[in-house]
Amino acid sequence: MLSFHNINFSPVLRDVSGTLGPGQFVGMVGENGAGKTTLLRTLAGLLPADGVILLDSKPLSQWSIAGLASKRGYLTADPLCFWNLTVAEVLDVAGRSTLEIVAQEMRQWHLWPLRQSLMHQLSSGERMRVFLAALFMRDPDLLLLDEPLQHLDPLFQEMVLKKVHDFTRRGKAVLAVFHDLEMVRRWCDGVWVMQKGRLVAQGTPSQVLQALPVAKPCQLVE
Amino acid sequence: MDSKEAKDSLGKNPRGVLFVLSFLILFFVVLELLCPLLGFFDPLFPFLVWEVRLPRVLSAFLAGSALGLSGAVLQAYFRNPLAEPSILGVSSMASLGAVLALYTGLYALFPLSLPLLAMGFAFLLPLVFLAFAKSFSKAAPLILVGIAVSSFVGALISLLLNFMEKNYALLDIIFWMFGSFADHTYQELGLVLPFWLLGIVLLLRQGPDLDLLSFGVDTAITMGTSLKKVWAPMVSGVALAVGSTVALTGVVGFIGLVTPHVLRLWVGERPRNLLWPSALGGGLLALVSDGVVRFLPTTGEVKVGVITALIGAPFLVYLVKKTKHAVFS
Repeated sequence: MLSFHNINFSPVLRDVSGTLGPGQFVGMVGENGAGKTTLLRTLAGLLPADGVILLDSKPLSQWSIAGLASKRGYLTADPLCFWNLTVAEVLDVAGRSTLEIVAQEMRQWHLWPLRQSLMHQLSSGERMRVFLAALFMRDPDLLLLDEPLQHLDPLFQEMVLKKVHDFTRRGKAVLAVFHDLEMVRRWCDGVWVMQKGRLVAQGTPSQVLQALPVAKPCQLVE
Repeated sequence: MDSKEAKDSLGKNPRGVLFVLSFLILFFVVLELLCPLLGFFDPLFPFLVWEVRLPRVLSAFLAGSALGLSGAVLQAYFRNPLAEPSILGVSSMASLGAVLALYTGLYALFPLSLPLLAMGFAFLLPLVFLAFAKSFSKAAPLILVGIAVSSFVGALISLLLNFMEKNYALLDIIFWMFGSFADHTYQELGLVLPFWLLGIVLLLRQGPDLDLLSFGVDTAITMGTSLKKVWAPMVSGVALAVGSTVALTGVVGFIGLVTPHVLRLWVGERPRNLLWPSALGGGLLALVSDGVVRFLPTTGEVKVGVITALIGAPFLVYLVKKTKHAVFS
């Protein structure tokens, strides 16, 4: 689904290559400043990096902005809403769905009681849930998530991971940045380890996380 | 059932707001047309209504709606509560055109030259902005560029006034720069109307993209829009709607800034929901200000720009204090 070769974005990324197939849930780990977010933004088409990025065998630069919008979803680490919209309004704007689906999705994400709340009154975790719900409503084929578990309590962390897991079982692909290696071990099909702008290890969690000493500094971070 | 409740939580019903605004506009239009300064049976009454008051009411509505809608679109685009039509330099360039028409004496020979020249100058700067659109990927530098251009043009106008030998046009220029809806002909209105209409339609169509821009540039791009996509229709829309009406009425301040802020208290902050109400609300504000101008007992008529600033400025300060919104804190 997504493959990229020799991505360079000076000075952050150096010769990064990899592939992400349909049905795969890959967790990306690495210390702060390793280049995780930059790689994610590059793959989302937000940064003009050198190298080749193919989405469904077509170069990313040849996709139209609308085509890409329905194909891949992207969650920034700090999603924001400048104007003070209600939760329902945000889902209506971002979700591209009918009101029935908006209502249904709000119930699933436990946002129904908050539907008339204004975004600026919500906690960080609640805000994160709103944007996650919007992304899943858009139902893209590829999801790029920058620290989706940030601010969420353990219950909702499990819920998000379950959602992502079910999502990939439908043949969709997810690449997400995590700091909690235990979560990665339990839920992900694959792990990518970033270090100093390079993708230094790729494999299943059991292979990668046990073999690599880099796992340690990752755990210490944050 | 759920979807009905979901719909209810989408904020105030914009249709209800539009209905109330339309009713108020109609009320003020009728009031200003028929208010009997002369007796109803005076033979001059029909002339007064059709040739003096109706063009005045129409030009007030056209200018006000263009300013209100442009303010709402620009604030949403720049995600900045201070954005208003003047930041694109449209009004200041129109002033320069008008000043030139008055300065060169062209206006005295051919009265339509003033709106024509003002309109031409108003469109000039946005054309430059459009040409350089590729080099702007962020919103904040654009606001600074707009402020710089406005100051530059303002200085040019002052310079022109200094060089003026005869003083007869000086008063005309100063009066024009404060804006007035009075003394416009149907011919002038006809000249402005097509540009105004095209501009308004262009601006009203940007709602969904402006909604997405609320989430920041990155998220907006991944959801299918970008600052660049909205730039061209927005700049053209503001230039056409505001440029054409400012060319007619002169600079009327504060309507573009205040209208969206007032309406946010009523319809919520979703950019798309603000567009139609801002167009109608701006028109209403212009009508009311013009009404105040007409009924103030002064010797010479006060210019409407004076009234909008006198009412608008303190009201804005009140809004900033009253609204406990993140935008203001």
